[in-house]
Amino acid sequence: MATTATWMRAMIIHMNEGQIYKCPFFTAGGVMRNIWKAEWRLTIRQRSSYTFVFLWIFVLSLLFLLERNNPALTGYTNMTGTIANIVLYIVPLFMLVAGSFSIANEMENGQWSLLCTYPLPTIAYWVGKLCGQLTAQSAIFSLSFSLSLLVGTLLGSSLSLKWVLILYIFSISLIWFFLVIGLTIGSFSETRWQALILSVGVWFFLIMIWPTAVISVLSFVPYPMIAPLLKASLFCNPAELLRIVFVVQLDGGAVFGQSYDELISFMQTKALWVLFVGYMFIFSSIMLAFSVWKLERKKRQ
Amino acid sequence: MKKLWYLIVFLMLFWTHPSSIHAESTLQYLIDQAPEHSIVRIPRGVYHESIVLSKPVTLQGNGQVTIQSCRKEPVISIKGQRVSVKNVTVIQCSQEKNAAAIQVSGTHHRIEHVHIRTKGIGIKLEHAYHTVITQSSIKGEKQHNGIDLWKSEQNVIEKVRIEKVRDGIYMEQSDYTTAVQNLIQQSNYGIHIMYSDHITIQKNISKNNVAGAMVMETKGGKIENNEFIFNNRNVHAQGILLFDATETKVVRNNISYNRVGILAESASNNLILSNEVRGNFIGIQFKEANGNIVSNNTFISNVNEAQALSSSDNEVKRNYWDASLKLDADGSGYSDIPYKTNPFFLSLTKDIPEYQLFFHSPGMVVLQKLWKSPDNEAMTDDSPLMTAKIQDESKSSSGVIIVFSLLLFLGSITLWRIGRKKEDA
Repeated sequence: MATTATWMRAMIIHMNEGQIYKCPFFTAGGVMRNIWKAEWRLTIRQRSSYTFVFLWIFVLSLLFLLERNNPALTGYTNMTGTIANIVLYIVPLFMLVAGSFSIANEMENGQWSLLCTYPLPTIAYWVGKLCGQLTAQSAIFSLSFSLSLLVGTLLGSSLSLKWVLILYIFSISLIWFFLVIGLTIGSFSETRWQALILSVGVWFFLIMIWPTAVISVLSFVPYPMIAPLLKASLFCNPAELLRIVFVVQLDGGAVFGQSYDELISFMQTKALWVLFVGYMFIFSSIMLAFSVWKLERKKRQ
Repeated sequence: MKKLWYLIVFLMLFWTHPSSIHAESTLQYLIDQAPEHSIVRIPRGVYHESIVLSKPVTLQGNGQVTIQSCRKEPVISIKGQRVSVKNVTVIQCSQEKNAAAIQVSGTHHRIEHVHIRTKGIGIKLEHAYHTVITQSSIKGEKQHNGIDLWKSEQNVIEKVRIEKVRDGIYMEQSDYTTAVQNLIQQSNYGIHIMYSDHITIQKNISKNNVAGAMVMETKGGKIENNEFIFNNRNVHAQGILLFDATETKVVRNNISYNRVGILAESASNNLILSNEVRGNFIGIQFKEANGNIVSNNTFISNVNEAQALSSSDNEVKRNYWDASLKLDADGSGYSDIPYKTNPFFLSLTKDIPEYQLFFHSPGMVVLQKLWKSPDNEAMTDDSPLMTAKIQDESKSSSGVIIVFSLLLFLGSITLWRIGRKKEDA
């Protein structure tokens, strides 16, 4: 309830601000900016944000200490793989829950119905939510990351800057993709309980059972189709794509074998980043389209 | 007028070439005229002829000297003893089988700063002894061997750059051969040893070949400090193959990014020590190999670390396996938990190699339970090393990292504070 109050207060305050007259509230840009700010404040102000900070500090310190046991090794090792896996287990799950709750909560407590009485563009609402969540979650994660890194370095972990940067970009990209998926899940659920179940389900599918699922599906297709389908499947699961990019950036691309030589050498060029940003944009747009479609339907009901 | 022009052009052509035409007819003559132990200096130019050196002389090019021949005979034949060839480029353009750029027999010869381009064999040593080939290069067309030794002993091949040949250095029945600091690439096999004992292979780099080194039917060899890397272009590609090799030492080599790092087949009583085996599809593979010692090696991010087929009697201990669970209760530096390798990716990718994409995937935990690899193919290390024994690559950059983390901290705390600030707008 407290969160709802804050939200409403934020909205009303922004509505009452002088800027309303200069920049009308009911333009898409104005709404988006207000929702962004409100969401950002709301998330940071929640007590759970402190819990997140402690969780990330705990996990990240563990990872930096793990890497410390690898003093003489650079590049991609089994330990690096394990670290990426821990990040992959934990970041997507929490981001899915945070993203989906952010919308489902408003569905549940009636705030969404209230908002529907204003002529709010749904796109602005969703994008504002994404930006707000992204700002808040990145702030929380970066704060913990910097503290753990500082502690780790002072305790004598010898890490390379490249390794640290790649891990950071990898985590922030994961936060982005899974917040997008989380917000979509939120748009499709009526209650938080539904959102939680869907989030865990999606997490389990994309992270835990992905290889098994892909292999079982591919056992039905003719052999020559397997290689192209596997490459295509990479783009269906941002977690898997990010993992491959992470490994390649740490010069470990050779572990995927001969079949991926071209893909790996492409990923070592600068063009990768153009593709990556393009993929980020397209993936988010598709998710946005689904969410807006569903939210508009809900609005009409 | 036109005729006059033709005449001028003809005269000019004739005028610029007389030295080469003149030298071409006299290179062998020059050599034949030279007294023993003298130096025959060849003026710069292109010489279309094949020559024979059968007495102790030094043939030395002054400036850019190219000797070229498209006949079946070797461009340079070296016989007798103490012949030196220095600073020349040799081109063998004959397509015929076994045509060699340089053929050597006899003893105590020296080939130095010789650069060979050949459609046939680069340098062929037949019954040659105590010959040194150094600081030279060979470029072929993948049809024939770079340096081919046949029944030749005590020869040294050093600092030779070999590319695009069949086998970089091929030795058969050539004991006590030494190959040091050579670079062999884009060939079939980098170094190929057959029936040659007590060979020494040190500090060579063999990369992008089908196999780094094929060591077959040999005894008492030393293979040390070499780099066998990126030999992965073929389904049968290996870093190093020990086939029916005995009492051979494979020590401190860097064997990385090959399809199979070390393959020991029917090999016995070999020592495989302190090698760095990284990023191979299979780190080390034994087939009917027994009595070998595998110790102090470092295995990092190999898709399958080790596989043993019908090989039970090998001593695998004190290696570093980056995938092993390590616990050192008594501070000995060795883990108390034995490590059993699980080459399960082999069974997963046997039919569909593309599935290798799932290497280290977080969902692999589930899949690993479903695809159990046969127990008898595992290799067990009873006391794995706690830390890797490789040169410290000193990756640390603490100062930069502290600055980075402080910047990150400032950025995020600002975002945090803006979020927590009371609405004052």
